[in-house]
Amino acid sequence: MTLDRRITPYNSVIMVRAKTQLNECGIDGVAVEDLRRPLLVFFHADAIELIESDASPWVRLAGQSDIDLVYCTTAWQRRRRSEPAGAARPSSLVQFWAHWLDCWRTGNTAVSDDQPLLIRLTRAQSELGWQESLEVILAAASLEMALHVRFEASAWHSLLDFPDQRRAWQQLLDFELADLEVLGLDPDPDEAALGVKYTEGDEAGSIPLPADRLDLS
Amino acid sequence: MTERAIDHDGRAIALDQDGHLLDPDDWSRSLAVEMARSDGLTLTDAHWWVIDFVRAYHARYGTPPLMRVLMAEFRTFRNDPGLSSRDLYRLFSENPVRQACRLGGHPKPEWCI
Repeated sequence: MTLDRRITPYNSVIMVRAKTQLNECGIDGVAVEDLRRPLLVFFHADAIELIESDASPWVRLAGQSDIDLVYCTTAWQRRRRSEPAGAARPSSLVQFWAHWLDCWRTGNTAVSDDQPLLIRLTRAQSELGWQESLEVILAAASLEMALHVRFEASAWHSLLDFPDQRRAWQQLLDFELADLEVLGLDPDPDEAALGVKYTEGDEAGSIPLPADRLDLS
Repeated sequence: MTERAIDHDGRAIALDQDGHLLDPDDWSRSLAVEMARSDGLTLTDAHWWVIDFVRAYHARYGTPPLMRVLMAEFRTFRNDPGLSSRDLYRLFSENPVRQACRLGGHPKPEWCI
């Protein structure tokens, strides 16, 4: 038996989580269709609705060469009982991150070894949205990736509106799976005691955004 | 969904197709012993530590622990930094987190992690 040591076949890996138009999505201003190929497009959360129909512009993407569409089976099963359009294949969050990491190791994703991945949360979400955002982060943590999670104020307030979800997110701090930072709010002593870091509002604008980041909302 | 049942204390306890309790309130330590026996397992202190940890984690956070977390805590519990995931798989050959969830009375984790 021989082992196939080939790493990921993808030069670009992108996760789509919202029901967004094809032309509204991309990485750092580069439209999806213009990302380097081979390209993997991973559909998660509400974005799985984008692959319900063969008529979807997203599904038609799969007709182009070197583009694979995959979806999170758990996100799909939470929302639908039927099968998605034929062009999309089942996958998982851990597989997404494995491809993403392989992309990085082959130099196609701008990530450095000594810097954690920055995950940004910028908007309010539903309770399921918070659950699935946490799952994205836990999947990355399961691969021992270093993670820094940054909340903007509206996102943090939204998470606090769901006490069960806030409780679930605490595992990230309690087991050192990720750092949690909140921008632009006065520190809450109770949250700070739980390990949440607060960054002053006037500092927020000066904080650089590294290239290695993922926006979850 | 195909359901199953396990006889315990004169009652038929309903299980889902994967052997998880349909009603977590049916759980007891004696039922866990019975469920483990049907897996061919005799629960030792080490098995119980894992089951109790997973139950406590679920109660606190509402999710099962990552394997990475379970492994780290197991090393601390055994005071042996040389332990690896193989040692957990020797205890729970199916999948340590998933099997401990099942024997601990929790539903099958619905996520794909």
